[in-house]
Amino acid sequence: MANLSLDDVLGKMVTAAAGAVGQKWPQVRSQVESELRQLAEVAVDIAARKAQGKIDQHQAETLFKMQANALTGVLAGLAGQARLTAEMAINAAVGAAKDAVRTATGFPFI
Amino acid sequence: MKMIGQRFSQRIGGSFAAQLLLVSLALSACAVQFVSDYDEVLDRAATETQRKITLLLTEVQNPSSPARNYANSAKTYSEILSDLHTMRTRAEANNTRGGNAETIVQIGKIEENVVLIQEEHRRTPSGLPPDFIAPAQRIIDVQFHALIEFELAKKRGVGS
Repeated sequence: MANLSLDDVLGKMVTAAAGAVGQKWPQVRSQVESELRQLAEVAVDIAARKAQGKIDQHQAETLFKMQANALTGVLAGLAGQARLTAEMAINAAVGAAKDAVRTATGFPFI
Repeated sequence: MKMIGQRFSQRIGGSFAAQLLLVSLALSACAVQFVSDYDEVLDRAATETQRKITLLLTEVQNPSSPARNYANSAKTYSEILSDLHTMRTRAEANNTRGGNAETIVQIGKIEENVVLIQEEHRRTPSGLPPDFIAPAQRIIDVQFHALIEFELAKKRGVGS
């Protein structure tokens, strides 16, 4: 099992995450950077433990499957955060429009 | 919509008030919800289930604990998987228009990982090595962190 570089693994994860949420990436990036970094560190850690003979091949494969599952979960959460950001932006705009109409008309029930 | 608005305005005299009413109705209809509401029960269940998994993995690492032997831990795995199944069912029941789709995926991936740990433990019935448990615990922690963080975000800035 070849040595893994943390920067390489993290870079690939960030690319995948950015692709998953598209234009919302700058708005949600800070919310998942910690999780992505930890999962990248885990991948490097698994490879190192395997290389040192501390875990066997089967255990290493199981841990890599777990790491991939966790990444899928983190990316799902990221996609959800992006949808939530969009929802809040739309509703904030609607709220601002309502406020403007209320102010202009003096109708409090809008 | 435009024609209906014009007819309605004409019917009540084309007044500014009528146009305003239409604008108000349109604005009222514009609020959207893409993501389900915050679920306090799910939030608490996630924290409790993470605690159970952490406790199990700590016990499995303890050389003097009976939990190192898979036969003694099998029931705990079943309980944890049952808790996760209940959480996923709850999230699915609160999935109007797909608003909980991501949470369902997150819980499902935690279930898969608990099953993977269980299978590995079954394969080595005398006990999992600490070098397997440490990264496994860290992965599980990341998963619960992401799940709970997203659930708290559903409060939409209220009291989080």
